Amino acid sequence: MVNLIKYELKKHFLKRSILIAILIFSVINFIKIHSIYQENSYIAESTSPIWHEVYWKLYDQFSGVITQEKIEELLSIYRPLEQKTADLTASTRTDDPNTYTGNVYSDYYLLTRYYVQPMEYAYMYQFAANDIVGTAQNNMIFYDEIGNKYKYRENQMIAKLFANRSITDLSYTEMYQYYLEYDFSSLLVLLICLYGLVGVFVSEKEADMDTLLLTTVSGGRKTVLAKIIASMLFIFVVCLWFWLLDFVGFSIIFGSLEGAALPIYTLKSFENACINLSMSQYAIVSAVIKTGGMMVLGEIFLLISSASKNAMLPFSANLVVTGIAILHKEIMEGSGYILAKIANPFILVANSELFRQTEFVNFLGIPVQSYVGALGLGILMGIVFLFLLLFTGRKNAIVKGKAGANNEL
Amino acid sequence: MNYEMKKMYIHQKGILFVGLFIVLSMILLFVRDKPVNLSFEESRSQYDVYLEKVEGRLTEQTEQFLLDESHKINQAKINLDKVYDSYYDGNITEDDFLQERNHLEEVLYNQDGFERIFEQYLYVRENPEQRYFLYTNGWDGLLSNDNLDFLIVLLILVLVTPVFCHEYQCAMNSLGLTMEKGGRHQAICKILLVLVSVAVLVLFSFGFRYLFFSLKYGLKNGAYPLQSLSYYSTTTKNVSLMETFIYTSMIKLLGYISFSALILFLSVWIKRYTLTLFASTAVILLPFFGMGTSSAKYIFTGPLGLMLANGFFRGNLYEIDQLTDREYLVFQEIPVRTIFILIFIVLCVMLLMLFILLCLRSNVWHKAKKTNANKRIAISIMLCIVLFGMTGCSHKVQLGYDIYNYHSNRTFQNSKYRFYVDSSNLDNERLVFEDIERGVVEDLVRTPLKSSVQIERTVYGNGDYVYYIKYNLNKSGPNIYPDRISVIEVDTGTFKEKIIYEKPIDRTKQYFMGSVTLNNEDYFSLDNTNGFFLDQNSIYFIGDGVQQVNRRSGQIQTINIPTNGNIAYDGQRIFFIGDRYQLSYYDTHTKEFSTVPEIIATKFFLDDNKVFFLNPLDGEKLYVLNLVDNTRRKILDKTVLDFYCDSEYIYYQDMDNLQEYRIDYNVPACQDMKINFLR
Repeated sequence: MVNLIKYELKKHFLKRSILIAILIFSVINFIKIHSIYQENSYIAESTSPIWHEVYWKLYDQFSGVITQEKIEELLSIYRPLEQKTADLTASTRTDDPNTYTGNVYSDYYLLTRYYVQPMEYAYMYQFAANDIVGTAQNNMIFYDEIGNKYKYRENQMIAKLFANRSITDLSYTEMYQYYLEYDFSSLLVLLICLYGLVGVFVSEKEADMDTLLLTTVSGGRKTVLAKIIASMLFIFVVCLWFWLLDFVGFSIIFGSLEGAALPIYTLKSFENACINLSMSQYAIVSAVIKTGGMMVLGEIFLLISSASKNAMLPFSANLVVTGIAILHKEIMEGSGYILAKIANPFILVANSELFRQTEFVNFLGIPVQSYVGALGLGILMGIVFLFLLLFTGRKNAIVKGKAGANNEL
Repeated sequence: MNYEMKKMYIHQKGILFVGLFIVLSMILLFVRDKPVNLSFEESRSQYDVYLEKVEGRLTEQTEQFLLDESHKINQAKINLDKVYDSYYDGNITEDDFLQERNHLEEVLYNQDGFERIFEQYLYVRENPEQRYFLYTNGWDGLLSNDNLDFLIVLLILVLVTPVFCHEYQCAMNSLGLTMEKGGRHQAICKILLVLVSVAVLVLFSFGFRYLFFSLKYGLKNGAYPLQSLSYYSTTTKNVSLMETFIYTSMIKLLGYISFSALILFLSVWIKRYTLTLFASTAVILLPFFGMGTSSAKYIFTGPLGLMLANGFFRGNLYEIDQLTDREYLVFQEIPVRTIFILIFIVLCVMLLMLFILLCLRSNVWHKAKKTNANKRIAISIMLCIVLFGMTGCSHKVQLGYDIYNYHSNRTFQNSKYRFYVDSSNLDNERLVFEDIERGVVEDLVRTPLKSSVQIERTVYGNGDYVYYIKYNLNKSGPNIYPDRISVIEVDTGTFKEKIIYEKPIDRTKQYFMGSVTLNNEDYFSLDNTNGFFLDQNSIYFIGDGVQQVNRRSGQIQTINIPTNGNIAYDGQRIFFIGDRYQLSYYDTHTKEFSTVPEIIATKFFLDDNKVFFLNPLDGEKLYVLNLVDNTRRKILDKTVLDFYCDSEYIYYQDMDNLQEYRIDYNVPACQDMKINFLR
């Protein structure tokens, strides 16, 4: 079997064209990450050198554990700026020596966005989390009285999840903010997988070797299994490469690894996150789930291509399936119809939607967190597609013969 | 050529794909098309009256006409109010009133249309040389978008790829080369067939779109300048609408043809379906997804830029940076020279590809052996093109309905609870309910995760079910904004919640990984709701107007009902005070407007089969109309400033002393009423 898998890997995936595509897509990925940095960061070295310099100059002074001293120190700089700019009558000169950036408004905006707002959010978060826990506990009493067991359990889970949440440190989080919501590499992986997988079943049919295979001992279901395992290994390797590349790319381009140990809810978009992980832990969990989602999509690609004689129709069909999956995920983004949202394997691939909010899906009267539901559905789909792949293909004539002989005995 | 055509369309099922493409294109166009400016359609006949007079360039005469007409309409509105007041006060006779009213109503007949044309005037006057008055929905539908037609791309892929790849798959290519007409001659036939087929299909698609918009909206005034369409408001290109359509069609045609040539070239070089399809798709999809909506998507992406063409004619676009409140450029206009250079480059590359293709397909045996090296170079070149492209960017309810009155849109009461907006803390106004028996007050919206939602301070109820409006807040960027509206139904028995309607309202939401922005303008209008009511089929949102949203299809329709007074709903009819204080209603089943005969009211309140109203013909006294037998009677012989009702009492404010009183709800006549002093 191991040999079969090796042969399949060599036959379908160890091709120059795939390696070249991976290489070029990797460069494209880097360029895309760079364009995200340039387009979104106000402190990018290349586009805003002054803000970049001032931000990092003040970083040592205000980053780390948030203390009363740091808050007061920050406010002592910020309050005068706030007063000066409140009525928009302050000087607009850009070479003011009494400012950090040369302009009083620029100082005010820089401090607001990068120090005051994040510090206020971090400082206030534990109070907000305590409020959530308090409301959830009140709800538990209310729903218990009313007899709504489902909502009772849901609030119980929320109370447990948000208990003891706090953000103790101020850190640079811009890199993680964009890295954890970055999906473009998923599209690149999808295209490479589409290319790599579409030929797995088709290539033998194109060469009319599929019938011949059925006459060999290892043909039929055994070969199919080897093809599937080889395909999954291929997906795994491609995913691993691109997810690592994403991390390296963001770290190098944003020039910082700061904030890795901070909880995921340090990012405002993950304020109501459904997990209590650090940003680096979440990055790993997210990458694993992405890989799983890609494998389910890979099985769909294989299933569609196994029904065709040449690569053209399955490639086009898989392209359409991919487009529909992407569009469905985007249309359902933020939707309250949780089941409809998580029934799409692509949500496992672009999975920040699953973790950004604490949402529940009703499973036989039990509240299940949406990401658990999505994982469960993903695994179920993976198993169903696997069985379909294994049992819808043509059986090996030799194995059939042997089985017949055994029966006679 | 005939054989090749037969092979492409019959054996390779090309005719089937073309048929499928035509059917799907038509269905999508018919189903998805919505007028870009819905308000034009809603008052089309009145709008046309004014358009006829001002169509074309803004001249001194047309400008004076519009300003005069604006003055005339405003004056007529004021005079009409005065005439009604005089009549209701008994200062003028009925004959004088009718004569004057008819005259003024004639002036105001096309008021809605005038408002539309005046909005257009405000746009046109900014640049009268380049902006003309015209009906824009047709041209907007045809030209004002930058979406990629995925169906044509897919059709070209499935139609063109097999032309050479099929021969390589069957290993017939070598055999073909041994024949007299098998090499270059056959290749030329194939290339011509593909290019002509693609051109015909693309031109058919353009022609069909033109015909569709021409028949549905009309495409008159094609000679007017492009800037007349707000989508092209900042363009500096001095071209007409028709010219733009022709130029963009030509550029798109070249784009699709060059894409086909690219597929042909790749298929001969690579010789395999999979890699050809992969490389062709990557060349189009990666820059499309990767480059967002910047102008670089048009310049650095070869065939893709040309296939998107409309962007070549747009002007600079700016957005406001919310942090610094300054404008920044998001789309830079592409100069004409750059467009010509681009077209020239694409043409040269296309001809070069076709030349190389012909060389590769000549009757020389040994050339076929260079496949591996060629394949590598092909992939490298194609993916490098992509790489180069990337560098450019930086419940159902029971049959009976509880009566809804917009004036009490912040309260609802059923047998167990009273729901209302608690405004005791103005910084934290919230929906609460009071257990009538126990007097306990609780929050209606119970989600602990309140920071990610915003609740509209209005409530609607029907029997055991109450409904509220929730907005999901998007916090992914520096600015927090609502991106989705939901109507939530709460079963007051179990306090189980259910979403009965939800729609995205984020106007700027981008789909397909940021590459496509859909026009969500109609949904965006829901983001300004002060009250709502619903039935089994529709939800009616009251904001700047009344918008009826179909619960199944999501289709939005504006009902022409004024929202400055009360609006009431009994499950079928929407009551409101129409023109000149006439109590009117809109029947949601027959979709017709009617007036309640001889009822003039300045304020009203609907109850089960009864309408309480202030009668201006009798000095603003409080009357009640029985909707069953159509009888009315006075129930309070006092001049009332304002009034409202709940399930037990009518509360009113006396005009003389501005004090509030209440009277028992079921008083038979005014002399039997009991007045309790409230304050």
